[in-house]
Amino acid sequence: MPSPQKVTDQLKAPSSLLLGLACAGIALFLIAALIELPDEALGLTELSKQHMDESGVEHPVTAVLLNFRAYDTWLEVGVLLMAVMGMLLFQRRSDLRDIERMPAPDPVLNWLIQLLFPMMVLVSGYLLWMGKFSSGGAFQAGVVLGAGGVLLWLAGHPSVSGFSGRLFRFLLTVGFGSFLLVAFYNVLLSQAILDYPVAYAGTIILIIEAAATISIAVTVAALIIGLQPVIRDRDRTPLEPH
Amino acid sequence: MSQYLAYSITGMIIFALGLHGLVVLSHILRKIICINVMAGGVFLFLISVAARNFDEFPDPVPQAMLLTGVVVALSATAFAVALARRIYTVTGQAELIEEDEPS
Amino acid sequence: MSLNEWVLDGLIMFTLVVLAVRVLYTRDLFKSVFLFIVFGLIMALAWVRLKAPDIALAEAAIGAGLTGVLLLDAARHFNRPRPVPHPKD
Repeated sequence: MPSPQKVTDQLKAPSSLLLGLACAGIALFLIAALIELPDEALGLTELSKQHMDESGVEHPVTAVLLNFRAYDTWLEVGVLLMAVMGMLLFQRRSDLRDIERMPAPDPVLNWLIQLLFPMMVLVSGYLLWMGKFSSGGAFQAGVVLGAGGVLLWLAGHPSVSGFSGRLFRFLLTVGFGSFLLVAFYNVLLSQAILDYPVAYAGTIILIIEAAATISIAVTVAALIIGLQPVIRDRDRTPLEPH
Repeated sequence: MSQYLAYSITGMIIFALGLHGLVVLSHILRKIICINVMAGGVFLFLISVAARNFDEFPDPVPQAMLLTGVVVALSATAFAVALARRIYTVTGQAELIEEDEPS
Repeated sequence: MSLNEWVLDGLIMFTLVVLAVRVLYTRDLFKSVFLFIVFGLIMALAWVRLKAPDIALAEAAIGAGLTGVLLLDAARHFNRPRPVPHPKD
């Protein structure tokens, strides 16, 4: 095997030792800070418990994610969107068409994928629905669905690169957009920006979560698949203006 | 010493190890892996803090931060890999070494 | 907490630290990526022990599955000779 990937780090011994000591010092400092912490602390458990009946869901983590700290989640979906935008910019493409495809799978693998992918979609939907009552939610569901998309691509399935550009971009932004719509509606009614009425909170959360699941899935899959080179050159647009 | 404290300390050790690797190693992909190892340490710390309350259910706020953090870490890694591949394509260099340093 | 649980926790923590060292300082990049995948899986195990099974599931899918695919693909890319830059680049 050629060796460009071998470690060629040959730092001089004294500086390496010094760096090791510095990192050990940081570790000791952090551990000392940890030991100072009380062994038993409730944190925000009680506060979130008190407000559970206003949240519209029954699972504390989902309540924190989509209601108490929805602003955070919104911006994190935004971070995902920016990551995929940056990646597409570097690859100079705006969608996943013409992506280099893996060779077509052998029949056994193909059969396995045909069996596995619907299962993954099912598991994803189940996780999304279960987020209201117990462990689960948009992030887990989105990751499972996105992993399914990557699996399809790895198996050489043509469907992944078959999205039209418009649909692809819509799916990427629908999660961020649904938060934005709720925020816009609330601003029009001059309420707090992500404040849901208690009666409809459960439904609104489920809709936002469904949209976020799709966006997270497409983002995660696109981030991995989009790194592949294109087959043809015609989609490459030069950076400088014409 | 409780289970949570032990896991927190492990997390900090992993964080410091990753930091050392990040400074010492020069291959871009290795640096990206180092950052991921550091993130692993921080995640382990956060999740052990969440379990510190000895309740039937851990503190949901650190758990929610972790859930988004894991996905954001993946997207940041993917973006970093895109940048690294671009650097490799343009310069043919896979190592980040300072120019004036005799390597 | 019983002795058994302490042994299990101790084993997980020890494995995590050893794996972290091996991930960082293995000479072969591919081996390093594979060890990182194992690191992610053991990390998910630790999270199950810390009462977060659902996040452990997400971590197993991300740390082992998606990050693994991403890094393996990148390692393959760096292992190849430098691709010829596009004239527009």
